[in-house]
Amino acid sequence: MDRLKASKILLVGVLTIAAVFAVYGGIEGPARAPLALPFLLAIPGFAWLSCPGNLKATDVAVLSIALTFAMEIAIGTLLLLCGLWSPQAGFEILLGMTAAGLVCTWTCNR
Amino acid sequence: MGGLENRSDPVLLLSRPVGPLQNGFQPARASASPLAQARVLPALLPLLCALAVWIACLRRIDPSAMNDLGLASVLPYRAWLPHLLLSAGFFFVICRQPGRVWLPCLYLIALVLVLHATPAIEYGTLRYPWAWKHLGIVDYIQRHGSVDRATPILSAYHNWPGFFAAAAFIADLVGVRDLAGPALWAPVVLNLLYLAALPMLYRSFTDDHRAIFSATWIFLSGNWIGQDYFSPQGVSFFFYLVLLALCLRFLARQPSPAATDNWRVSQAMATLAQWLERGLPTPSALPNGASRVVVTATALLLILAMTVSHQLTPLVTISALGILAAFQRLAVGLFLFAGVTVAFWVLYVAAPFVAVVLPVELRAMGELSASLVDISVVSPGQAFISLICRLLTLGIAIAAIGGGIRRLACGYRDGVAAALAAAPLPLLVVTSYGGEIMFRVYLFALPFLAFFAAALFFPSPRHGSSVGTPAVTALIGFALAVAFVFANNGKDRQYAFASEDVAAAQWLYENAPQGTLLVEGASLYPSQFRNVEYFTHVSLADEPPESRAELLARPARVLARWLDSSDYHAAFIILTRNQQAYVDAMGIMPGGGFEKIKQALLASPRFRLVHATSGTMIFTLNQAVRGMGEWID
Repeated sequence: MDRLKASKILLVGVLTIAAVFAVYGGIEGPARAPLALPFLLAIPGFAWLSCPGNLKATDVAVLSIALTFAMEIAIGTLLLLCGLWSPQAGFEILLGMTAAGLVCTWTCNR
Repeated sequence: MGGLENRSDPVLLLSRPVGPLQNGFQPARASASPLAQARVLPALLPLLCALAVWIACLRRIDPSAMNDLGLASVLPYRAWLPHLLLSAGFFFVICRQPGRVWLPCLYLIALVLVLHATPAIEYGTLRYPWAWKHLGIVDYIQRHGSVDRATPILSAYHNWPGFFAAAAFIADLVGVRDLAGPALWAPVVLNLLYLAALPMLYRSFTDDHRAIFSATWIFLSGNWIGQDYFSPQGVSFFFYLVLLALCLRFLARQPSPAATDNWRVSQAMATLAQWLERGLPTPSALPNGASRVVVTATALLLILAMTVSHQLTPLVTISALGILAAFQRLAVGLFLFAGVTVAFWVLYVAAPFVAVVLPVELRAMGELSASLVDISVVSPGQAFISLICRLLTLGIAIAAIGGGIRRLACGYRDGVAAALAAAPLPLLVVTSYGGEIMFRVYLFALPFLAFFAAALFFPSPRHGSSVGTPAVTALIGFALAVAFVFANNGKDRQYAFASEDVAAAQWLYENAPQGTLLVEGASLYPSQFRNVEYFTHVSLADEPPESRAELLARPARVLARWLDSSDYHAAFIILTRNQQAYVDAMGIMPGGGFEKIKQALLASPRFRLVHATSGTMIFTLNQAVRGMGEWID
């Protein structure tokens, strides 16, 4: 595995752990947003978009944000319309999708 | 470089190579020589000065002193200096130092800050009454964990809840209960996202960084219609740009008549598509099948997210994907997916809304006049603002036509970009969209109009920038940025709310019981942001003319009759300065009708003022007098 891919996986891992800590660690108040927001704004998408290797950094950033928002909209709508609304459940689905993206990145181009 | 030289274009083969400093053809290799570093500082100086002047001007503005020209009426003269400095620096950099891609990016970021952070900082409250209604749907989801698709109150939002569900989801996870503060910054964030997405899209039309960045400047300055706030359409538009960029750059295919079947129409379309693509950069190839799957899945998810969030954007998306499929630039699969998804959503999920709205839409089909302000009845200030809006739109459209002609003369066909500019046009006959359709069509056409408008000055990488180009483009860029402030912020006397008026509305929405009748001067105030289902709203400005005439003849008596209804547990009248500004500026109640109503309520013993600030008055029936049977009509 090359160094760039390793650093991407490390970044995803660190920000995911920070978000998990914020959501499940009982963090309240102003400290919660800086811990959870980076993950919620871009990381699930970034985990997937590390796979296509020839994207520019700016393209990856834009696509990561767009894909993450799109995932959150899809998950939120699904939970809402199924009568299963639960932000925590949505967060767990996002974590699952991030993990799947990491696996994809890990195995891509091997 | 996967650029123009890869294509068998005779015009380009004959072109004379020009150095990168003259033509902006591609970014120069990074140079760390002292000379190169020394040239960065002068290029950055206008940017730094602009930001310094901008910061110095902040918090020196009194929004309460605004007149009908909006924000521009309270800006000091020196507040325009950042616009001039940014435009001069930006166009100098892209003409004379095109190799440093990060420099124009910094200028564009600064432009977004100057244009969009100024109102956020100066007003300090969420702009636009609709943004407050959007908060109301998020609040509803947070309280109920569901939507009510059959409700008549803000029904469209309940039937397209994607954006609100995501906002509620993020707000809950982040631990933010009141989204009004973060939503204040939505215009800045959304425009930064557009700024990031547009170059990605434009790179499928040209390799010339001057054209790419100029087009982005024109888009940011020309996007005056104000959909870039905390809204489903703001986010969906970002998705739309990203989706088109993905389709044109990574999922695009080369039209090839040889590869098609023997069907003549298909072959003719392929030949036409090839001809129309002449001179375009080659799409970026993805390295492997897995990458293609990821990018395709991203495109599908973006279509899905747009479909569940907004009514209009998916329709334009279908039109755009259909165009790309017709040009054989894209496989037909995405177009079909978008069509089926939207049809399912509209006919099944949003059926309760569609059943009510469709007959109204069919009656209003093709009515475009409602989109335009009748200049003869509005105040002189608002007439001037309308004129600026029209001139800005017309100017960009004319420049786009000129740019398109210049591109044609240079050997480019740009069929895809031109067709995508026309993609939203079918909406003009499909829906009136509450009288807003012309503005929305303009928004969806704007990215491509901006590209062609930029081509007026930078038609091809072979055309170097003349001595006068930086000065001319800088002046035009400055004029566009100034016009944006008038056009986008020209109604801020109606759309920007003082914090005390927000507090008054908060008091009302948090204290009124379920089943409250709320009579409002107009719907332009912070409304429906909390407990949205508790209220029935009646807007005086939206009453039929006969009803308004009766009201103006005997305000206290008529309003007392309206409020004295056993159908409601409580009833209030809310009159605000923003409502008054709107009603007066648009000529809805001539002869100071709004003020007359206010004075009549203050003077009448039938009413009690229950909450007041310098800009908001909330009345209710005076129960003591009511109990005495003081009036019986």
